[in-house]
Amino acid sequence: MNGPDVNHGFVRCTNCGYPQPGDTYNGSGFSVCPHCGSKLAINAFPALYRAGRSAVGMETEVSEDTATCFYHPSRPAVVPCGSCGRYLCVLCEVDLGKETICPNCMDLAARSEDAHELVSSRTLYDTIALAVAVVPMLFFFVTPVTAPLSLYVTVRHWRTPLSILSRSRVRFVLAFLIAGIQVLAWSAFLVKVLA
Amino acid sequence: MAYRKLRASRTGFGTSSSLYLGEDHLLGVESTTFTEKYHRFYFSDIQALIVRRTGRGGIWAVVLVFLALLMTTCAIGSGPPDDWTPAPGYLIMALGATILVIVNFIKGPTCTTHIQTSVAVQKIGALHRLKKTREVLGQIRPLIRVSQGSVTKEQVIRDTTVPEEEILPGAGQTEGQRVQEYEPELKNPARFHRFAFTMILVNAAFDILWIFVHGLGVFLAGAAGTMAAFGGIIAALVVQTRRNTPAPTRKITWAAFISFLVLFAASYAVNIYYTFREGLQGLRENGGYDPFSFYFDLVDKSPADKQGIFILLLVSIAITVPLGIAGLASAGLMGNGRAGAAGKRRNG
Repeated sequence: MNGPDVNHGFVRCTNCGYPQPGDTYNGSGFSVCPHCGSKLAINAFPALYRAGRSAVGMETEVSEDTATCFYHPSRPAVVPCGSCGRYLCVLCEVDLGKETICPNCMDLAARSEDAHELVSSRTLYDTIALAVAVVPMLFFFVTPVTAPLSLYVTVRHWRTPLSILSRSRVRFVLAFLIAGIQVLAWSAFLVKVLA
Repeated sequence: MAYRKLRASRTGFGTSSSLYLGEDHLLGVESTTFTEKYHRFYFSDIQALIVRRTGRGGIWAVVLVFLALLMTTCAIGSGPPDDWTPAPGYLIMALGATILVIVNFIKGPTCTTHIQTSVAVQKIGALHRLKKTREVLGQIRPLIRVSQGSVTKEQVIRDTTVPEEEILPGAGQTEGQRVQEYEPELKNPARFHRFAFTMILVNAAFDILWIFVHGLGVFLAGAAGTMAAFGGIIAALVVQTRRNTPAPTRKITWAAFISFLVLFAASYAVNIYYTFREGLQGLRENGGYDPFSFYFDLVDKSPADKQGIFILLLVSIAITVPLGIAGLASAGLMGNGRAGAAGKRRNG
């Protein structure tokens, strides 16, 4: 069901994909899909009836005194990039809610992981460090390997951005303490055995 | 950016989905234990919120009620014949199942929720209970209206433009293509479902027969009937993923599948219990452990002689007979109605 501007002007049943008639939208209860009989409640908003992005401004001709897109010189510019200032056409503008940037700046921002708006996934290293410190305690004989590993993950990723949701580093602290105690305990054991 | 967590989430085995409210967008978070994936839906881009009722909650209710009853029966019946003191292990499991039934009831009916934008229709895993979904959508709708404005019912009816070829069979494409999209198997489309539900009834008939007539033939025929019914259900489930089976038939097929799984599990548990009990009894009386004595008894004697087997048999009959009849009625309608009409259309 995905693709560029695939949805415009109507809504499909999420079970069978059959287009739903307009009189069933924004009702008070459920309507029945005419094809599969699924009960659907559809809330439609004005964006459903807006012209698709690709249709706006594409037919405009470029005259000599018109600013053109940096990436598409044959197309008129509609907005400057909020980051680098290059002029962009409707195809190149990337709307981030508050500002519009170009695909190049979006790529750079996504790589640097600075812009929260562009992050699509994150690895939770604090949970990994804590799990590596705690779970192997069930089989204590592997902790000489896993405890230093947990310490390494904690130190290596202490500054790595975690979840984009508010999250403290308490898991890192706990992992460091638990793994540290394990390392100290094994060290004491080794010293005693060697002595 | 600060996010506010909406009171909607779903936790699975090692995964969870939750929903957050941002300044100008909605954030869906799909988490495994060690990773998070984010889906953003800007209020200005949301075209539609689509909620579809599902029967998952009902199926869970049936399964959990059955488990609670089964565990209660086992708790009462597992002791010696003259002692009706409930076994604590079964009692705890019965209590657990009962609590789950109550929780499922309080959470209410189930649904799936999708958000449609101009380029995607994305499922929101966190919104899977109707009560909670209504509450959350009540919070989101005003924010979308602030961003986009509102649309009247008359405007919706006037502006909704479903492409004609999507509605009328044959318009803009050949009938073969059209039929392939929505009716991939016109040739007797309900035959797998009919077979499955017929075999479920045949299996129930063998179960009833087994109470009165004993012997290797009836026993083996019953086992073959069970296998045929389960095989038929799996075939019907595969078929209904590729073609649009009516919702009631689909639900009954899933209910039959889950019922068979639960009955198989219960049957294994009861068989293992009796195998050890009879074997140990033989060890005490004859000094030799024979794990197969129970199975010879099953073939030669009535199942009514063993309390656990008999209760399981009665429960099985009580579940499979209504399922078989309801399924056959539903699949019969499916075959005579939709496919019949489509067949006539194809034949001109």
